[in-house]
This record gives sequence, C-alpha cells and structure tokens, in this order.
Amino acid sequence: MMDNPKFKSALMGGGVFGAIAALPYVGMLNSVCCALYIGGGVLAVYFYLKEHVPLPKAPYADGAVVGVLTGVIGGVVTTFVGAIFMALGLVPFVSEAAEVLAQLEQAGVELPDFVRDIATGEGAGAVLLGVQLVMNVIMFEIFGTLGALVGVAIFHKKDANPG
Amino acid sequence: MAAIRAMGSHQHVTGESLQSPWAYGLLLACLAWMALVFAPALFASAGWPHADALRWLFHPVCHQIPGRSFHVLGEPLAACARCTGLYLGFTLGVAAWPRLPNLATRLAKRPRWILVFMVPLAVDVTFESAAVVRFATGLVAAFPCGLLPLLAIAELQATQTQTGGDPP
Repeated sequence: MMDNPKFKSALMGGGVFGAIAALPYVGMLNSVCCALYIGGGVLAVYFYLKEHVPLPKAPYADGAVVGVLTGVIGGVVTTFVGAIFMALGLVPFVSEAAEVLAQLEQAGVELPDFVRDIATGEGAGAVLLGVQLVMNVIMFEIFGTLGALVGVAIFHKKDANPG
Repeated sequence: MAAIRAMGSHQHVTGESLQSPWAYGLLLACLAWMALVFAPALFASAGWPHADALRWLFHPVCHQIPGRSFHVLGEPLAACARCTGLYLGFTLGVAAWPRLPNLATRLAKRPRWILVFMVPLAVDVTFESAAVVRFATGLVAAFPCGLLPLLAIAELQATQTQTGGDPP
C-alpha cells in the first residue's frame, strides 16, 4: 500500500494538514472557508500529479480518490494529534472542560445542554474522542475531496502532443 | 449528469448522460447540506430545544459568529454569510452545469479559470465588508467548483463502462 502513489500523496496531504488542523490556535484557520481541510486535498494532489506524466485530460477521478484517502488520513491524524496535545496539557483536557464551559457561560456564550452533559459525564474522554474522530473524518472527507478536485484543476499538466 | 470524452488534447463535455444517479445523488447531498445550514434557525425559532446540536455540526469548518451570519426568523443560520454563499454556489453549480454543456466544455478545457472566480473572495477576505458582499463572493467562487465533481463522476462512469463493470 505504501508504494501506491495515491496513498503516498494522501499520506502527505492528510498528514501535514491533519497535524496543522490539530494545532492550538493555528487549527482555527479551518474557520476560514475550511482552509486547512481544502489545503490538505490540494497538497495531496500536488504530490500526486508531480510524478505524473502529462495527460490529455485532467484526471478528476484519480483526484477524487486521492481526496477521499486524504480525508480519512487527515481526520484520523487531526483527532489523534489533537488528543496528544490535550494529554500534554497544551489545549484544555476533558477534565477541565467543565471549567472552560463555565468560563464561556460567564462570558455570555450560550452552550447547548448536550455539550455540557457530554463534557461533564463519566467516560467523557472516550465519547468526545469518538465523536471528534467521526466529525473530523466526515468533514475532512468532504472538503479534502473538494480541495483535491480543485488541485487537479490547478496542477494538471496538459499533454501538448496527445496520442 | 455530464459525459466527458477525450477529443485530442481537449476535454469535451456533453449533456448526454444527464440521468446519472450518482450526479443526482451529489445534488441531493448538497441540498441536504443546505437544509442543515437553515434547519437550526428554523427549529430554534419554533422552540425546538436541541436546535443548537445541529448548529454544532458546522463548528469545525465555520466560525459561526452570529454578527457575521444571516438570520432567519430572528435566528442565525448555522454557517456565516460567506460559507452560506460557498455552499449555495456549489449546490447551484452542481444543479446548473449539466444544463450548460457549452460553458462546461470551455471550463473543462481551461480548468485554471476557476481561480479567477475565487479572486473576489480572496480580495474580500482582506476587507471588512457587508454580509451580502461576503455571501456574493462566496457564491461566485464556489459556482464553477460544482463542475469538478461532475467531471470526476463522469470520468469514473466512463472508466467503468470501458472495463465492463457496474457504474460507480
């Protein structure tokens, strides 16, 4: 599998941007038009097409496959790098979540009841990690695939002499 | 929705396979996504207690600041004005490109032109602009991108047909 160029490219794009998305503060760049998830797809396709010979037509289907793979890898990397940052105390851990929620509420931010229930319940860490993993994979899938398709449109080199 | 065939060095798009179930599936998914953007505002205005749970779905990909979002029935949408424009533009693109085969062919031949449509959004990001402007620039940026997944689907279908397998 490691020799598969699609998988290798997805590993680069998903790995790099997945890790960036998990960084404290830097990860908030995703709030700007999902920039990091889309960027992961674009980077993956850049690496994929770099080693490709020019083709008469843009390989959108290959790009979509690279994007889907990037989404899976990126979502997993984001979740687990995020969990490591939590364990290192660089971002608030689940046990501190109730305190953070209280501070947010004092600041006038209205939080849904279900968030408060999850964050303060037993086994909250595992539940939150699972929910986060599913959310990250789905979102990275959608926007990573779109990014990969945009990447194909941008980086595809046309074959000047087809046939 | 759109079929592609290689013609020399060009990418020619026709509307001959508009009945592709996968392309319609993509359109349905886009409409469902748009419904999710509007649903929290509608549910909240109706007094449904868990409307915020739906709004929470978008928090990884949008800042959701109420002051930068459109409001429906007094409640903010689940995505900001720019993201709403992006989502709506993409949905309109998925719906419209199969009906515009000539334009689709031109864009498929020169796909880097989609970057031109993103210039207003890139400029707008650096300014403090009105919600309508943010919405409009998002709409314009995403509309041409709606063609790209249709091209991917058509290419996958063409490959499947050539290899004699079932459609994707």
